[in-house]
Amino acid sequence: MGELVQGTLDMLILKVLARSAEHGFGIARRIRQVSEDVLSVEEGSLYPALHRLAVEGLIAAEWGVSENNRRARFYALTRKGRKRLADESQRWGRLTAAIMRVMETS
Amino acid sequence: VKRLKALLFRRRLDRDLKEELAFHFDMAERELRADGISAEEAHYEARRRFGNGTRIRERSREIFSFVYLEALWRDLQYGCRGLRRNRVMAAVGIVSLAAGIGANTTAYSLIDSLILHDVTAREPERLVRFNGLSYPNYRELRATSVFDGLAAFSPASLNWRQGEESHSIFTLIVTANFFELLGAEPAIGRVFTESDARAEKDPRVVVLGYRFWERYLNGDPHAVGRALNLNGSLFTVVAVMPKQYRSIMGLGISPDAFLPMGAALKPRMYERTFSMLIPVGRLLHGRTREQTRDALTAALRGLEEAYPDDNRNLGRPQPLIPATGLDRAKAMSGDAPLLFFSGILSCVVAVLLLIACANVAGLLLARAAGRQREIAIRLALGAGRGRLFQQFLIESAILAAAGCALGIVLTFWAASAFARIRLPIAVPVGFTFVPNVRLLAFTAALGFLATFLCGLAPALGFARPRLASDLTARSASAMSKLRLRSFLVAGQIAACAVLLIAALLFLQNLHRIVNTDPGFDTAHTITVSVQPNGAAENTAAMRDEMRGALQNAPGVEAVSSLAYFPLNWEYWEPRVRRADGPATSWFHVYGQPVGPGYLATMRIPLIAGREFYETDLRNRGDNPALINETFAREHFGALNPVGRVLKIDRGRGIEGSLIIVGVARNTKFRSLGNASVPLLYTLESG
Repeated sequence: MGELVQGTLDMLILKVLARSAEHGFGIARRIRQVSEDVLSVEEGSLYPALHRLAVEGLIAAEWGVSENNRRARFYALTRKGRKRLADESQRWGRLTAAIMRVMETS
Repeated sequence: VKRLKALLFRRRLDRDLKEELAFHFDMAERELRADGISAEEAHYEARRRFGNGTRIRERSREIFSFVYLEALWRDLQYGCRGLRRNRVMAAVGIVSLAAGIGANTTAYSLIDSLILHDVTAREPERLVRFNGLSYPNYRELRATSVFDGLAAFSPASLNWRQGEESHSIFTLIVTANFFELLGAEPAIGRVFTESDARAEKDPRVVVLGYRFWERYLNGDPHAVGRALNLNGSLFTVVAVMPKQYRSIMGLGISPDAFLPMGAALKPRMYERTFSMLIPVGRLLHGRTREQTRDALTAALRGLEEAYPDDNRNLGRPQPLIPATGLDRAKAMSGDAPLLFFSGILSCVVAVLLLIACANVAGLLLARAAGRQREIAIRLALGAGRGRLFQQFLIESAILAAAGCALGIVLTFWAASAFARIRLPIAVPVGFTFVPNVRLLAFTAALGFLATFLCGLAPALGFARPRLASDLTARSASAMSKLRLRSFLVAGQIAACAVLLIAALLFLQNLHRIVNTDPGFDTAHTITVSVQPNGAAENTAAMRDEMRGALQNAPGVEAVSSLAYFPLNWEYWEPRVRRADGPATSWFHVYGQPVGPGYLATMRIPLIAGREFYETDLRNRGDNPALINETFAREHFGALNPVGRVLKIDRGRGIEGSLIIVGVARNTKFRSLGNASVPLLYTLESG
């Protein structure tokens, strides 16, 4: 149940969506599973974040049918989102590398 | 575009959000059940994890739409509805705020009009005025380079004859360069200039003040070119000054007309001792008042040396008074009462605004107390505290806005009422009201601030409510609000008490003043003011003739004449000394030239000697004089002054003699509030 580093939720959402379109619950589940339950996304942050990304045009929302045949809103990465994801992951890589270096040397 | 769409399809968006979240909830529950948790428990667990669904929806909506604006709009509507439901409370709040704000802006406008506002001129801060000069001295001073420009004016009452009627009008007799120096532009026509109205040409033109033009010439657009009969000569109107023109006199004094100096109006203008001009100078660029003052003193000393007889003491250093604004009022000692009055007025209206604010705060608190349950319910339903806070502030803002708007209306109304007032004094004073944007903004800000503070109190109170207790009944939290309310009420009562006491004191003063015995009979005396123009001997003859005619009129007991009415701020202050004292023992007294029978007419008791007789007029050589008790006590002590001789300074080193023939009881002379001053009655000469 780790707290998400601020500003990383957007990146994680984009990353999950880079694989395939997904609905909100799916995104949360995916993040939880891949992180082996270390990261859990709260609904209270997830949906506002999704909607914000949609408004910014980084993801597109579309109503579709879920795996259990229910109407669900699916989110997919847009081209703009893909570019943002590339930028963000690069930034993140640099940041974590820098933190690691500091932790190992000093 | 997306947001705009969202605004338009709000309902659909809401439904979508709800469905999305429901789906999520459903999935979460299903997942928990798959983990082997009972249906009921899974439901609650999902519910618990999910948190406040409404809140999530609201936050998402905020992203999609102008939810903030929407909320504001709805709060505004809700606030208006609430206030409509509480009409009495809203009305009381708005009216008290309006009264507070209106009183403040009106008082400020009044003070601004009388004291603070600059006179109409180019760079008025560079203008200074100083003590009186005669026309010849003025001409010579102008030729020096003390100032960047020098003009002069002299207030004068002129007779304006219109058909069979004659009005006394208040004018400024000005040097021909007056308007050029000040840089004031007329509304109609063209003001006279140095080249076309030189005093030596004895110019017969006149520039009218706006009020005079509007009132007496009915705002005639073709006024330019008309001839006015002033003091028996015809003057051609060349211009009308604008409505907002503030004359160099300051204090809201608005002369009826401006006339160029000339022999027709100032027969004695070429006498060097006739120091009736008030000079206005423009400081040289980069020169301070102090530097100019030194240069001026040097120049005037030069004039004194050139004409030692006529210009005695002219070179004495004297202050340069700024021509405009608050500096001027501070420099003019005579304006002190006006400043004092302005200060008092400001305090009174400020207290009034405080009371109004406290009033509104009390009302808002009362209303808040009545809404405790409503607030608790809204909180329970998941309303954000920020939203509630906003709601309170918006309600205050509605009140403040309405109050300010009404206050501004009140200000305009009061100002136009003031502008119509004509004070019953010889000098026309007009309140030139200019709505002061800065002031309105300031007062409105004050009103808003006050209401926000008022609105904040209840809002803060509800930011940490005890939900359950508030839902069910009144709670202890009401106690703190009660305390705040009683504090407000106490403050209000205190402020009201202060104002009431002040008002009572003023009333008592007024009552005392009205009942002050001025020392003469005001109940049975009537006065007529006559402004003769013409040669002095004709004037004297006319006056004596009038006196004789009135003496025989039925119901008239006694008739006399005098030059200045007492208690009317008009003084003659001659320099006198006792003839039997040293030649340097001059002192100033107040002088009042009167006709025969003055004491009897005014019913001023005679203490010793006699008063002026008709026969005194024929034996002018004797120069009889009367003095009052204070004069006798201060300068003769225990001696009997009757029969003693006074020397009077007649200027240019000439001394006249006066024989004291009687002592009169003290009367009020300067004002009803002043103690008795030494007073000298002379026989009115002509």
